[in-house]
Amino acid sequence: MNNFMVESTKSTPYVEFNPENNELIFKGESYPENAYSFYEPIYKLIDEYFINFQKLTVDFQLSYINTSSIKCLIILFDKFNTNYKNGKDIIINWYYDEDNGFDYDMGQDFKMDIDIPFNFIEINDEE
Amino acid sequence: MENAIYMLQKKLRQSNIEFIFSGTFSQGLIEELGMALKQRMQLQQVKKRQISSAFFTFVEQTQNIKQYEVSKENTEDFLAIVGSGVIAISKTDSGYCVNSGNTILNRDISRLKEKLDKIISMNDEALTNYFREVSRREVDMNSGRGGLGLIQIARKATKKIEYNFEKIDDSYSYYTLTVTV
Repeated sequence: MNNFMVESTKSTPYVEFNPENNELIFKGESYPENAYSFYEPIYKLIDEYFINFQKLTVDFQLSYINTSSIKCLIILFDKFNTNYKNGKDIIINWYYDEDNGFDYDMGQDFKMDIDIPFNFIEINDEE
Repeated sequence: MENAIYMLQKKLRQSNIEFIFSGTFSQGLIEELGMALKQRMQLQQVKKRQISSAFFTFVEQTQNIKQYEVSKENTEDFLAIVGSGVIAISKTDSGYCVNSGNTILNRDISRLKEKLDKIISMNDEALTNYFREVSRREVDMNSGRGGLGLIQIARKATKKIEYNFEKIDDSYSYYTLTVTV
């Protein structure tokens, strides 16, 4: 499988999928007008990936997520959860900024409906 | 016209409005205004938590207004709706307020009002459960009509959200929403 990378824009996060390292990264803000068209290619990659691969580490560092992106991320977490229940080794790292609050709360919301444990990791302010 | 602008500016000052846009929103405009809003609040050394709540509310409300406008394209109501949107940030004793407004059809009021009243009646715990229920339903049914945005806005707000419908005529009203963060 090839690597997949999308640079961030004002309203979409940086995404990097590196199958060789078993790594998927989301970083930035997510509030596009059509969130589904942004996330859909990633769903396909994940489905394809888990046919052959056994483990995946997913890093999320999203400071802001609008409601249509929330729904897309729920679909993504459902995919992770199905694979996790089928025996895949999945780690979710949820990075948050203590002062922001929004990102931590969001991680707590996503965590509620899935079985995979979340690692909450505090980041230091870069500014 | 000059005088009208001056009067407007005076009025904005009196209302403690620091930031306002009126007209049709595009995604690009929402992004630019959102950035400006964040920068402005950062300069005023507002707490990060408050900035993210304000920014969240700003984006949800402007995207809601935009979507409502788009949903009326190619209907006889479009001319009354288009460009009616307003977003304004004001400073009050209890924090920052994100105020939004747009023209809506009278026949769309009852459903919206029902959602708003339900959300306003809920405490934090009930809102969290309701968020969970509606987000799951919207994902499963692939629809965006449950008002997930309003639920999230209410969860981020530090006070109960407030709304008003001002009747324009038999067909339309002006809907405003005030959210304190």
